Amino acid sequence: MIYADNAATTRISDTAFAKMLPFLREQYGNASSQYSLGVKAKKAVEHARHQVAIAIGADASEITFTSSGSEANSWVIRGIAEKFHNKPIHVITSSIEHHSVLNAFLTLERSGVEVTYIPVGKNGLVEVADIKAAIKPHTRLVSIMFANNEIGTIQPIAEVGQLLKGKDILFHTDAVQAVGHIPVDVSRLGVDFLTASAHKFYGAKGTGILYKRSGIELVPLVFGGKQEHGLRAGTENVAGIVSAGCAIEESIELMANEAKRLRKMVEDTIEGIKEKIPSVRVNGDVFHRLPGTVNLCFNGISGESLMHLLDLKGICVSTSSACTAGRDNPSHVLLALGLSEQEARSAIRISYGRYNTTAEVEKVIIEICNAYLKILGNC
Amino acid sequence: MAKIIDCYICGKKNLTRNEIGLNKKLIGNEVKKFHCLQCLADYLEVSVEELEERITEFKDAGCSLFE
Repeated sequence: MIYADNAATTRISDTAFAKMLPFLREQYGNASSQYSLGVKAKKAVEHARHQVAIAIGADASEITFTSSGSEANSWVIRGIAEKFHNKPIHVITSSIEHHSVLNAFLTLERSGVEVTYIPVGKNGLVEVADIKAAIKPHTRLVSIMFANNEIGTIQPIAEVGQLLKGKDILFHTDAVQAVGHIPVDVSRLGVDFLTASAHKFYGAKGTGILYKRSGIELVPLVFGGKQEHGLRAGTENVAGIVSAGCAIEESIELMANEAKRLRKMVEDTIEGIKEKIPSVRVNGDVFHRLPGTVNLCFNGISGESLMHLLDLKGICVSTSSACTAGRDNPSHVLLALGLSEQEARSAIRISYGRYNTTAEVEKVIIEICNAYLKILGNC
Repeated sequence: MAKIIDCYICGKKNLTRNEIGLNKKLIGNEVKKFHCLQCLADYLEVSVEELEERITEFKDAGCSLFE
């Protein structure tokens, strides 16, 4: 099998896997217990918190573990709305956010919160000037994703942070696709909240990360014990948290070389496909993008069909559309870029990762071209 | 009444709902040349068993193309 869908999830690294295992068996203590088994679990959680904090330039006290990136996103957005309960507030986000952000804002809209969705250009990037123009006296939150999950474009987060500096507006970035893959430093970015997820950077599934700048208040997500600074009660997922700490440390260490290698793989893929299919088109900005992610449009065919044919050849890629009961709904991200519904339905996302090889890239190119021609030959 | 579709390659008469659904799923809704399961497997260079497995997966996922 060739797994080229690392933006969906990654295979846990051998090191992270080995580090988390003892906490499922020999060291299975509850981190709140006061005897040695529990103390060791607590120590492991705090060590992971420290590892995550170092990786993003934060203080360990600013890191809270959740069950997923989506949970962390929902928490921030709903939490801010709750903080200003019964007050007319305005929030700003972009039209290409992940559904965990967009759906949270849609829910707020239904309860009377005013939401502005900033459009993106054909390159998939927001304009800082558009955000500036959208700010109102009662704007309380801006939420712009760091890197897009479908097209891989990287937003000008530091510039947005600069714009909001000194204003009474909180700034959140969904950095689920960015953390562990490109440099992320919360102090340089000027964000108040940043969210991430361990399984996107070779950690285990089930552990999300919330960075909350020191001094900022957020209502607790779960009531109960004092776990996670009293903000998210419930017995900690010690093994998952340990894997997150280990995986992020490892990812930071490998980042520079990996970025270079993955960028080359993506370039080779685009060039290789273009040789056989000149009409293929890259969606999103060519320069401001994640190293391993590329989204391509294949004129005249369905991206979903292409994905299924590749699956038959043991290659995992993703389609941008969501198939619901036999009908593929075009991606909101690609539509926001100005693509027609037909163009959006013709797209696939390839996302390479740490375990992909050059030989696999060659195979991906060959099989994509073969599958494209087979589909086209029958339409 | 459902339209009768024959295999474009071998001429097999009256393709089943599964065969028609799979052609639409793997080639696209705009498919013009329908294949029976065997001819589709040959065309895509996979086994009939693999295609049957996919049919089950698609149907289990609730895909209406097979109804």
